[in-house]
Amino acid sequence: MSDQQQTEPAAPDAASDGVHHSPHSGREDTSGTPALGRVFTALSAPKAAKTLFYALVVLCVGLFLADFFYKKYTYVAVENIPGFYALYGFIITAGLVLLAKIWGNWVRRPEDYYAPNDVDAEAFPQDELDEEHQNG
Amino acid sequence: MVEAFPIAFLFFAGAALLALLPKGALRAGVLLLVPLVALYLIWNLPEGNLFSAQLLNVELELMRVDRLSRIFAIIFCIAAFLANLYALHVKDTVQQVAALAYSGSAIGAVFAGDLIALFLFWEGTAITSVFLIWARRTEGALATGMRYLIIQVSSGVMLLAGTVLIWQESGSFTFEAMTLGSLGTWLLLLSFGVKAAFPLMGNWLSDAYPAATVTGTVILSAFTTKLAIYALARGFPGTELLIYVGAVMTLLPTLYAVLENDLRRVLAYSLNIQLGFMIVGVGIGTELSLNGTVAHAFAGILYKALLFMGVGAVLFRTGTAKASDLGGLHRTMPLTMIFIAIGGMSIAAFPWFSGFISKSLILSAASHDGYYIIWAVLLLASAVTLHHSGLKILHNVFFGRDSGLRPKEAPVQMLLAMGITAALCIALGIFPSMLYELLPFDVDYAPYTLTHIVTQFQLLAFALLSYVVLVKTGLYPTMTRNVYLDTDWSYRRMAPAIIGYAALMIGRIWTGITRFALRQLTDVATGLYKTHGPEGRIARVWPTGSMVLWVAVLLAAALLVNFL
Repeated sequence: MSDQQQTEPAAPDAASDGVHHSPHSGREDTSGTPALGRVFTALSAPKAAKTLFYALVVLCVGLFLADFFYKKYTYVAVENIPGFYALYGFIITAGLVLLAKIWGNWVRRPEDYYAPNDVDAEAFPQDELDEEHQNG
Repeated sequence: MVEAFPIAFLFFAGAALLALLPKGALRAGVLLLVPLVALYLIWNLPEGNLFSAQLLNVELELMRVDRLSRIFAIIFCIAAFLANLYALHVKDTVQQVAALAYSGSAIGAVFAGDLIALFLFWEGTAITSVFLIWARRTEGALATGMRYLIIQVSSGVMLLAGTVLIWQESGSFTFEAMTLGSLGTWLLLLSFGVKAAFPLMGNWLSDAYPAATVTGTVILSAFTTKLAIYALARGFPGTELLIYVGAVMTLLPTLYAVLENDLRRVLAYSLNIQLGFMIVGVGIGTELSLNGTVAHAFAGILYKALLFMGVGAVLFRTGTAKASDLGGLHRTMPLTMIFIAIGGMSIAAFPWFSGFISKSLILSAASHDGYYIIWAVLLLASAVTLHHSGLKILHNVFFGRDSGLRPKEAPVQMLLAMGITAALCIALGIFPSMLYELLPFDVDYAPYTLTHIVTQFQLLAFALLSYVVLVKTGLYPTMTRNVYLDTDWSYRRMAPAIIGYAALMIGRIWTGITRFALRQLTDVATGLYKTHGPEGRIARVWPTGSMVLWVAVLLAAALLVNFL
């Protein structure tokens, strides 16, 4: 999930509207970050993310093999195939996502396609928001 | 002494009171107390038809309390309370009044014992809810709200037409289970179907919900569609057609939920998918499946509200809910992230989360009754829900690419509302009997069997693996600033284009015809003028005396007429 995570702080121009960029050029100042946030940051560092990925693979293999070690109570014939739920879960979700990707090529339009009769290309009205930034 | 009064009126009174009270603590008190008092009252109501009113010689049943209506009213009160708590910072009178009046209308509709009362509250939900969209106060929101209102009101019109036809047939307005057949029942089904976002009719949902205010979307997500589910469960249980309609509903919106960039729209599509599960349950129509529908509506309102709250909090702090503009917020909004994760695990039906104990009732009902293909479709929709409603949001908003945004954590009232909702999602998952006891039929179902837990973990773990693999290999659709055309294109672009083209063509043809006719007439006129005009050839032979003669003839005729 966190494969694209960068160790360095965001480039100043990463925020498209140019409001939120960090004034620091070196390591990011995390003193204002909540402790929990720092834990999540550590977990999403590339090394930890790799470990988590392998943990997931081990978990998946374990769950697949679990099918051979207990008595399944089933209603549908296909459920008796060992690892049916695992295979079905993997193949069918991947298939559907790829189908969506192909479909997307047909129906994708620019954001202002329906403008001005749609909210997609509008900025969210400021008086509805309370934007506060740690580094702002 | 009246024993009970329509609970909806409590909400309407609260809404009226709000407009009079000064902004601040008093209003907040009303907004929070009304749903809680209503919840207490509904909990303690006896069953039966408790209140009727006379309207133009028609007896309206306003308080039909039974197990089905009670559980919907209960969850509506809880949802109203949580949404109002979440929106406690809002100072906009329009939104506050609309929120109370809208939830009141929905509760009134659920307790309506006949079709006329149902129609009144049905339209009430349409008219009050649109203000939550208009409250955004932009040109786009105005247009979107108008589209939403037209569709909602036409649903009400179909309901009224169906009611009249049914009254003609049976002489009764009572709202009970019907069998599909006459035109009247079809109209009712269509009316409910529009509000329940059936395929091809339900695009208003993903069009309008993301256009509402931050807090408005949370309120909208709870009522309208679940009211339609209630109406279907009451009016059309066991209608086989609904099984297939529901199954299609769990699949089609999935494509858009995977593609969409606006995360509130992703959630709207995902809401549509959840409605599909509930409609399959209505269609199967056994006690198990109807229990499943009601349980899923109950659990669904909570986890859906939680997800909308979480994404709303991000929008509130950053000004955008678009996946392409977000990323890396886990640093500064970790609590919001945890709440979204809990919502995601609930909707994806992880064991010990609320979706698990409600969705499995419907899946079991499908497999027990031999609808194997439907079961496979539901299982698929269930697995891919983890992708778009859980992982996609977590990945794009929190982990993933760093957007450089460092927003502050959500404000206290939002965290509190999300915290309570998340706690309820987990509590329902761990203690399913809490919910099962409220269901319309007695429950004889054990969700936590070893088979069920292991198979569900297999499904979800491998769905998670497929997400990671697809993202790592770059196959997962990237989030870009785009919109994706859905069926609303037909009435937003195609129909106006056809009408515009037709108008142009008709205009051209009309111009041609009139121009041709005008030319012909001019030719005739000039021709006549040439021959009969003062300078014409015929004019030469007109004797002056002929006029005198004709005057004499006319006078004679007048004299004759006078004598007769």
